[in-house]
Amino acid sequence: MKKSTKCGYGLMFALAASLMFAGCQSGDSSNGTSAVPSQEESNQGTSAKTNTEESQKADSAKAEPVVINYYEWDVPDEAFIEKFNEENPDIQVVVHTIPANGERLTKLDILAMSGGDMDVMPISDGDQFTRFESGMLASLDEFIARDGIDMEASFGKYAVWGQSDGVYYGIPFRATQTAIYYNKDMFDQAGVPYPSDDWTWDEYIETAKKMAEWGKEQGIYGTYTHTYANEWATIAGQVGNWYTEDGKCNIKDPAWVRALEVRKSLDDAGVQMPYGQIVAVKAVINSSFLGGKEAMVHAGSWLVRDMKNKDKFPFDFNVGVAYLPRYDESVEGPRANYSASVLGIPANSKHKEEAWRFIRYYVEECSSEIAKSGNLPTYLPAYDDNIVNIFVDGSPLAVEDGQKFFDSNVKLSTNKVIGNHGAEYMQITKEEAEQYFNGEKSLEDTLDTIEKRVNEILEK
Amino acid sequence: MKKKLNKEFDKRLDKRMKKSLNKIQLREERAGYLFLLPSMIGTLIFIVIPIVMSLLLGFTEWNPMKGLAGVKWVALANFKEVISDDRVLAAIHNNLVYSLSYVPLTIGIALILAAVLNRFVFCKIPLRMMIFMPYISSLVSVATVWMVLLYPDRGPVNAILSSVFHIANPPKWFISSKWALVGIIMMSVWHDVGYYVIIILANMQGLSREVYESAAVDGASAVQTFFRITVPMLGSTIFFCVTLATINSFKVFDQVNIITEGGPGFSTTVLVQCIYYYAFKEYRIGYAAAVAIILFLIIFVFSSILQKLEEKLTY
Repeated sequence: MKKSTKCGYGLMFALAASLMFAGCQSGDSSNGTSAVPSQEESNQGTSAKTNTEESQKADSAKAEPVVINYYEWDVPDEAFIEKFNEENPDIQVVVHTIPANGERLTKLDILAMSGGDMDVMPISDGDQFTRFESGMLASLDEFIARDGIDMEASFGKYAVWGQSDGVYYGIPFRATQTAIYYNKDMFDQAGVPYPSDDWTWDEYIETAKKMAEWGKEQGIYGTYTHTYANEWATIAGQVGNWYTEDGKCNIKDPAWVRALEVRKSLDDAGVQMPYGQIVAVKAVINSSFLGGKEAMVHAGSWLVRDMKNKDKFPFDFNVGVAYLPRYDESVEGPRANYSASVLGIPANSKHKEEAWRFIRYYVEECSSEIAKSGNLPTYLPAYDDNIVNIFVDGSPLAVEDGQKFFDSNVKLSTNKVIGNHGAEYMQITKEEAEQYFNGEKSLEDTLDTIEKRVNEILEK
Repeated sequence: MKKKLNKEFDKRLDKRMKKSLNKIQLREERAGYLFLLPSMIGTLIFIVIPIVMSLLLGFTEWNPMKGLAGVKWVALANFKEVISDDRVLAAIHNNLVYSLSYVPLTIGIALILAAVLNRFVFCKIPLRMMIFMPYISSLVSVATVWMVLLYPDRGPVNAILSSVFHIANPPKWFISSKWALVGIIMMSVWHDVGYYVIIILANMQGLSREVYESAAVDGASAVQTFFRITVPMLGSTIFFCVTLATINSFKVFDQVNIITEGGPGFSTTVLVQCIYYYAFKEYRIGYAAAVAIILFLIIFVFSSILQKLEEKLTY
């Protein structure tokens, strides 16, 4: 009896582990056989036609409406979906709201891989490319060609976020552009001039130090740099290169070295919340900045969304927006980190035509709903003076500050590693850099280890 | 001896049964198997097939985004990579450190607490409840509370350490690569000890009073009684608890994932977290399955050793 219990426990764990995989396994085997051919069919050009015919047939037969399952963590207001359902009696869009935590992408991936019923899949801010390459999503080129959509004219600088190797797999629908937000009330009280839109990194550091000096007694920090992978590299990203010319790890680029040193020195001098403390107290940008704990913060346009949510973030001060500082005088502005989220159709969706109709409706006709929720719409023809007003309405931002998010002259600078094994590169850098920031490793050791580990991966 | 007798008895019974088997009995037997069928099918689908699949997956490279077409047989390549994978090696090291401190601490403290609870009648039930309470609380909330207690700056524990005990540089706990694992071990021991206290206590109460009485007559001290009588008589219970705790300790995941996510660096990375990382962050299912096989082997080796020890050491 006892013996068997023990063996049982031993086995039970092995199962627990293996069951996880079995979940994907069995799911995939069911769609693996059915979905792959269907994807090929859809790529072969006839599908669009047959699908329309099918949907027309469905119409004439007055069959049950086709159900489109749309999973999302940030739905503006479901009224626009009800409107779509009313206008399109043959389609019934069902929204499944998932928690907006770090696991959301894993959840969506598994839904897409396991042949679930997802028909419209959102992928955010740079995570889309590996998924495009893997064949998880259906190509949208057929639809785009059939409907005669000019992607460049419609989406401009955001269009590239929907394609891989010249093929579109996603339609940009929501953008994130970062900026430095500053607490105007604190600047007024400290008598420090507001950040200019043409400032440099040195000026930024100087301003942060002044504000920290002022806020010392009240426990207010000068600025805030989050613990996202490579967040410390944001400004250095304007000049730094992640790879050497022969494709090796280039972490010893002076720009990265300086960026690491700046973060560490600001942490140590008490100018910003130290890295370790952010990890320990699980600080987050929105409640920290809107809670009045620092004078400045580098954050995405989604902070506008949170500023509109007065129930969750009750705050009572004015906020201004400045473009990212330039690395030094040699860099031209204005600068911002930006990326776009896209809507795609999983390759194994059974209702691609209907899903496409919903995506077009969402992207092209709901820009003001998206702006109203405090997110940046990506559909350029919908841009007018009014959309900026809608975007900032309900937030403390002035219209000219809101305008900065719609500025087409902004040049992209990114802290992400885009290239060979980029995701692993960033993971390694995060794991090693945090030990440097926490004071457990010297800068030289950290750089050496990152270089060694990244080069090992690149050689594979 | 007993076992032998039992076997012989079984054999005789078998022979007699065979002789007297008639059609009705056969039919009944068939019906019996039919009743077993649902659970057999369940076991096959949810237990046997997944085991075989994950064993096989360990020898493949599989990108699940490409469906079944993405499966590629790579024989032992995954295991070759594991040997030089810093993450996995660190995880094995941390797992061993964790188990070798967690198991003795938990069982040791549980034994002492059980002995105390068994002896003192005062406030028995509230005390027992208090000790058992952490175990029935969700690990997620417990981990969050411990994070707050162990804040490096202005956390209550460090405040006490520095103001009452005058320690100049209290540990930075979960953000220090030296102390993070210690913090997790402390939390896990505190959380789980109540469960083992209940098991040991229940068995302790079942021990025969006469042995203790005669020991008392012979003038044995409390400590002697505990080590010479209680512990040996509880031998099989303790081994059961040790086995359970060992297996549980290799499964540690929740608290690590919530508190440190394996960091800083690799200082709290454990095997299950490695499996999770490779399977659901990098989507290298085959490689993750290979790590799972290694975890299985480690648990298998440990539980077989414990089983052998139990056969030798218990009465």
